[in-house]
Amino acid sequence: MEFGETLLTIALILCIYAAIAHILGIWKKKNELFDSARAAILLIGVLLTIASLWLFNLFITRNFQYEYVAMYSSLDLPKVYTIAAFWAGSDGSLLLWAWLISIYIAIIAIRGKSYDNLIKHAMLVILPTLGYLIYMLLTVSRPFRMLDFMPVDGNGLNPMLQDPGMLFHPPTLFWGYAGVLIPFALMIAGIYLSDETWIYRARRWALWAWLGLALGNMFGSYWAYTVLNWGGFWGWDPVENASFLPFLTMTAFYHSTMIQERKSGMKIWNIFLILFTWELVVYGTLLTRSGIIASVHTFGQSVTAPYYINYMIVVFAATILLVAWKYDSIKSKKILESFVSREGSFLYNNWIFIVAAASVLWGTTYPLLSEAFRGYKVMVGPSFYNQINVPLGIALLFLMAICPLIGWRKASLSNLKRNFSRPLLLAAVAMVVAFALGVHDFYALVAIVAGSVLVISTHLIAISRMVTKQKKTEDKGFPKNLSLAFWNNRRTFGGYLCHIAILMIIVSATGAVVYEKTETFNMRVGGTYSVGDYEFKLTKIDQYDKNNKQVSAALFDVYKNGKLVLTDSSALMYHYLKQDNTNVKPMAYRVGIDDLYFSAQAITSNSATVKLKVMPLMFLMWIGGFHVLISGILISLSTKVAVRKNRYNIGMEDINEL
Amino acid sequence: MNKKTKNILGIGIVGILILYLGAVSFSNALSFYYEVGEFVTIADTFNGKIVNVNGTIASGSTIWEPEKARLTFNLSDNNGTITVVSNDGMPGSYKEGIPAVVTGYFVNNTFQATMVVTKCPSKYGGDLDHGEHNET
Repeated sequence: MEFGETLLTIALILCIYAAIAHILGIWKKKNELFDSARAAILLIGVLLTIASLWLFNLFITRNFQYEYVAMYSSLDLPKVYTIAAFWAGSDGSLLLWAWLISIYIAIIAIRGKSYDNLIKHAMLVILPTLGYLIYMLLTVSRPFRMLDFMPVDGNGLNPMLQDPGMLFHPPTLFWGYAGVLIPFALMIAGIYLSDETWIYRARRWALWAWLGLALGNMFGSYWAYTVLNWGGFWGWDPVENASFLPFLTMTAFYHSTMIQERKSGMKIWNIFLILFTWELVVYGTLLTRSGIIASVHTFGQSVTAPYYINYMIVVFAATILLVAWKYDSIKSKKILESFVSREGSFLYNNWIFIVAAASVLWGTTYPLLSEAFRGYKVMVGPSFYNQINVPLGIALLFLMAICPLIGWRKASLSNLKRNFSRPLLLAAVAMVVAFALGVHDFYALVAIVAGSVLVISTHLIAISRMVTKQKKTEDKGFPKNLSLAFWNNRRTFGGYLCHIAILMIIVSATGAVVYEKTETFNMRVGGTYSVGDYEFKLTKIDQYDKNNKQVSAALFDVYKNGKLVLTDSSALMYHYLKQDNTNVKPMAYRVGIDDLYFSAQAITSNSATVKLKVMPLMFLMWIGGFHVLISGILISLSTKVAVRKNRYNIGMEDINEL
Repeated sequence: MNKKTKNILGIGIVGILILYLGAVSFSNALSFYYEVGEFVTIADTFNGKIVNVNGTIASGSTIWEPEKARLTFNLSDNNGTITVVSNDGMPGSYKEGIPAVVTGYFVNNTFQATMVVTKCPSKYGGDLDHGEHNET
């Protein structure tokens, strides 16, 4: 048997063994069985790591006798992309997913102290799932399948995937996909055992998965902007939607778990949120790996679709049955005394995310349903998603402004006046000033001006109150008070940073859409062309070879108010020799607050047809999404939330390990 | 009417409004999707309405005019062929013999494409090259 498949087969046997050992261990109450199962789990992690390294090795050594390697690499493919080719196809992606799950459970198994009853039961969800993925890797989605001949060369990697984004977008997304399994499994175990502490155990894993999903979506967006020549950061492509959906429901889940922790409410809601998140992860994989929806980057037809669909049906049915069986033990306490309260703001937040997710799911799935049940194919254009999600984004902005200051239980009129009169006044003044300065667009006034002022001011007020509280406890001077307030409230600060990141993304998207200026010119060398406040002078055409492609470059000097602000900026086209096709490589350069976006449509020896865009505020999207959002999640991740002892009758030491 | 009923009524109205607006924008955003063979039989009935057509870029049919950024090619399947014109430059990964979806409208026996999306098939570049003496 082939080496990689041998490793996978042993891993599958160990999965089955570990699952049986868990069942017997729980049944017979024998701890030694768990010790042996944990050893098996560790070994699964080691085996899948070796199998993955083996696949990397096959790509790096360009062993084309392996069908998967031959399909996704070639002799002229730069080495760095032979690594990324690992997850260029469905088989490798599945291996990556299984590998990451195996690492996560190995980490859980190695930390014996936290290997309690809840996690033992959760393993009975994780291990069969992992075993199922490994079974698929051995039967219908085989990365180690060997050909009965040695091809002269491979087919090469799709040129659109030959970009540094390919190194980061799929792995981060699968890091999130794999991570979602853990809170889902803890939820199932929690319901079965009537152990509500699952929500605490799931928190940091949910954050970890959320971090991966956030990174995956941001890398995807950046890729769309700088590689796919969509001329924007998001195209509502079905596969983009597939990765966005679990991010939306996971965001809702993370917020509503805070209500369960604090108020013992929204329990059923949380169960369904994490169930849907996991189902959407599998659904996303189905969409991207089975090719059932026409998209720019689905992986063609495959036979794996029934496997994903069957799994989804089983998981959904089993969870519903379990919830029905244990319904009495998972009833929530009533949490909502008033719609004008902190609890209410969490509820609205969840509704916004759920409506957004439902609209995206509907738009993405409808073409499938139409074809299956009505017999004709349709496509859903981006206008549907924008018309639903733009107002929701604005509503979210105002909710973010309200949530740090609104009172718990029931916000009184005096509470509202005390907390919001100054931010509202400030926002009103800012809108008047902005209008007088020429900002007349509704969305710009509402989202960029009012939204920013409200969100920033309410968050600053909330932070200042934390510092004041710290000062009252022990005044150590402002810098120390601030740092202590930060340290003692890391989870809240992390959340606030995430809010600021979302604000930056919404402001950036609004600025780029409302104030974007676009022109397409057929240019001659030496000619100057104006877009907005900028003048673009085509200085020369350059043509040269680079790695496995021929590059055509139109080079520009850019002037603003007669002053040179950018030199040798370029619009590029790549011609890939192996695949004999030409791709546009869009280029974006930041000048002040503007992105100057170059997208070549044609380049000849002395002329170029280039689409030029000026997109204000785009830089905020990348700073917000990559730096602020990620920092916020990491800061939140650094905190442990102790179980409220009076609510659940268990020891804290059991909990704080995860 | 007590406060709770008022709140529920308010939320209900907002919910219905969202559903209504969603349904309207959804119906406006829908466009039909055909295979080339299906489309050629009904092409004249669309009267300039936006439609999506799926097919394969026919070999030897490409006319590329870089000065105008105009691309002309035939999109075909086993049951028909249409001529497609795009004035939006060279689409990413364009190549003859691969599947593509064109979005646009049909006028004067020509499909004016506002968007050409080439699919990226898993078996990129077709069958593997066996070489001459490499069978093992």
